[in-house]
Amino acid sequence: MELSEKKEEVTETLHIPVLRKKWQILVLQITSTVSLLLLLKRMSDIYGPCSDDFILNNNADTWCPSYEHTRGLMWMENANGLLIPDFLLGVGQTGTMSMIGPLVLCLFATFAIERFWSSSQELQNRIKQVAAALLGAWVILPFLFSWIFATFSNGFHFPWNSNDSMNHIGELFHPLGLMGELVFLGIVFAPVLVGLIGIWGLSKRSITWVVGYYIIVIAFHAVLTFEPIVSEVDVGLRALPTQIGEGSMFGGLVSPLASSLLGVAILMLLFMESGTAAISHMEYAASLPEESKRDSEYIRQFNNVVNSHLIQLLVVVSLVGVTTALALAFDDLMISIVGILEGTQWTGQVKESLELQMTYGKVISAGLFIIAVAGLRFVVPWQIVSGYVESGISRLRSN
Amino acid sequence: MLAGGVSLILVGMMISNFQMMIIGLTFIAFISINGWIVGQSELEITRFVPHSNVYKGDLIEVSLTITNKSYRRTQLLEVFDNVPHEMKIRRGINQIRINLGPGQSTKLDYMLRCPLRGHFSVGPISVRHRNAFGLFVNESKIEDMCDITVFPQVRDVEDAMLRADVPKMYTGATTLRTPGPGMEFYSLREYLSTDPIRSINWKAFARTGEMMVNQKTRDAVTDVFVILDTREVSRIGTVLKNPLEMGASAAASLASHFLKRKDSVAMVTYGSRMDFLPPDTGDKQQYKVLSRLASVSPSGSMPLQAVTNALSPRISRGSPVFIISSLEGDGTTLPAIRNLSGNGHEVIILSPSSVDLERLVSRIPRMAYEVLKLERQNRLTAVSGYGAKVVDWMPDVELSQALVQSRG
Repeated sequence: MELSEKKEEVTETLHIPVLRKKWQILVLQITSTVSLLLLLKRMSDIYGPCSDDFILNNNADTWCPSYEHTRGLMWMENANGLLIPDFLLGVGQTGTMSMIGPLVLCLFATFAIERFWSSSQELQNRIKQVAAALLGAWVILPFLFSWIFATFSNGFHFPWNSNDSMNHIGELFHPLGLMGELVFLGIVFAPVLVGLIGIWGLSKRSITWVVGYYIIVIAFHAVLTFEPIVSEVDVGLRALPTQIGEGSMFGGLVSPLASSLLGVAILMLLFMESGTAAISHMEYAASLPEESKRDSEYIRQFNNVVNSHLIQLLVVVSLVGVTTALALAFDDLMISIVGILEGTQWTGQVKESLELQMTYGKVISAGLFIIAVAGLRFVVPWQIVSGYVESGISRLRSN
Repeated sequence: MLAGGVSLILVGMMISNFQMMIIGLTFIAFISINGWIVGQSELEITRFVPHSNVYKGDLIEVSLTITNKSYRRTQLLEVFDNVPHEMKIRRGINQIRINLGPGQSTKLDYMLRCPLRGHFSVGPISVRHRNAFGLFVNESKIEDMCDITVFPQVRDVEDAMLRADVPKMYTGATTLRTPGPGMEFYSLREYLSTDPIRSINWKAFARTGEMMVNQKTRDAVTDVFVILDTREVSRIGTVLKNPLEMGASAAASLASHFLKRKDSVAMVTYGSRMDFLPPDTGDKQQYKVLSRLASVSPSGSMPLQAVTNALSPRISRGSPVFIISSLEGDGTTLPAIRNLSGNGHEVIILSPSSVDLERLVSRIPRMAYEVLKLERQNRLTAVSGYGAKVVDWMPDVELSQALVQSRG
């Protein structure tokens, strides 16, 4: 017993390699990763399809700038062919299956980048030199070989010529095809790659970048599907409905569209908070001197802080989801309450008001609800209640 | 996040996009819910410092016990004990992140090194409470201060004083054949109500049946005067190695040495003004000397002669006088020492080499260094010509070694 206790004292420290295996930190990182993948899936579902008109009016080879990679890659394949194999790009697959290959690429790239960053500066320089040399060779060598071999059959000539067999300049631009493929892939999977690097490579900036990227994607989609813009330039994106619809899920609380959009917001929040939390805790641990990393009090308090963070993350994010859903349905409640107070002309007008259920009314009523929720903290003494419960439990345990 | 949320709602409203509005609302809801988690700093924090008086270079263990006395969880708290920048954390760290449940407590231990002498205060304790997501931060201070006095280092100069050419014959306790405070037995006499109990000779009481007390022979003492130069010029050198730091350490060591020998020591510091600590003996005097030396700082340009003139009526005849000064920038040094020697005092000058100390912080051209060094040698030779014993104290030489090199 004593021996095992001593062993535990030695093994539990606040060193980064030990923390990386700590279950609380792993839960935070895995939660963040799962949120990121679910966010990708949900974003693809909402912003991936092109508009019905676009699909009807164009064939499968045409491309619209939606949040989906296979359509663009297929368009490229038809134009010039693809350098990366289809199974890695997800070309020819639909739905979730089309993401498997690129996700494997992202995982591999995350691992490679992580190893690259953790290697010595000398090795990093060597890898950069070799990569640059390989890229240079890929650009130059096919061009040189094709030109030299062509001089044997056609005699000496300049590499640019109207005759295709004597024109070799195109070889120089061959690697650009790969860049194009990576761009199409990157539009959808760059946030996944950067997010994974952020979560597992411990970079808060990367995590913030991902959230910013998704908000920009949403903003671009919103602008490109905005009615006055669509009437001028229709790029074929499918617009979101202007009405959020009647609540039919979770006991009539939210509509399917609201649930879907709320899911994106909650996943974004969960990804950001759990990812940055893991990094913050490890940053704090890294800032401690060697003796404190082994100090049992520091370890105990670190566990206290991380455990309560996990509980708060779970509770707060759930409450945020519920509160936002309630806030979105608050206009209905207000109309129902006013409806009960029948009799005056004003109540009748409000009851029949469509404006309250449209964008402005919904947001204003939601804002009012959230303000009320924020104010409730001065009324509900939950911390004192939970404190009494906690001290009661600890007293029972000690008895 | 608040700005982002509001912006998303507004932009979403402008272009009738529910996704942006919902993300904005979610961010705002997140902030609102976070507002429910309020940290608190109703803590009982006690700081324990085993010693409030230490010597320069010593280590101090500081221990903070933090207890949550309330019925609420503290939430994420950062406790930071403010440490003066002159002190260096040697082990542990002066901050901790905690989340204490009701009634729970924790302990923060760290060790400080005191590389500089002076009077310092550890504290107040800063408590920053924030919620788990770092959205709300509130900082408060607990005004719990702990004063620490860092005395200059006291070196053992016993051997050096024996070997050095300094006035040994005057110093040390000399027994006189008269009763009084001292160490050696003088006689027995009857007990008086004013006598301390511990002076009772119990064996004599058992033998005679009368209360008898031991009388001691009175120790005669010599007054030793230590004059320390704290003028602005004593700043030359690095923070840790300059004439004042070397001088403070030397003054403390000499005072300690003579006080141990039951001599009476007076301490004089002069810079912007003269401070005189009258001669006295014992541990209390040592504490006073060390406290005085802990607080000296380089300032002013008072001439030495002004000090010796002011002191002359107070210096006992024949008392040895130690002057600790770089002897820089003072044209009155020679007449002052001439006067002291002329009055029959044994004068010992301990002079930290300011030229060599300056070399520690700035590059002096070789030629200039040679010239400055020659000037200094001439000055020291002139001083020794007036009968003073001079110690040219180089920065890398220990005090005991320097004392042995005294020349007259």
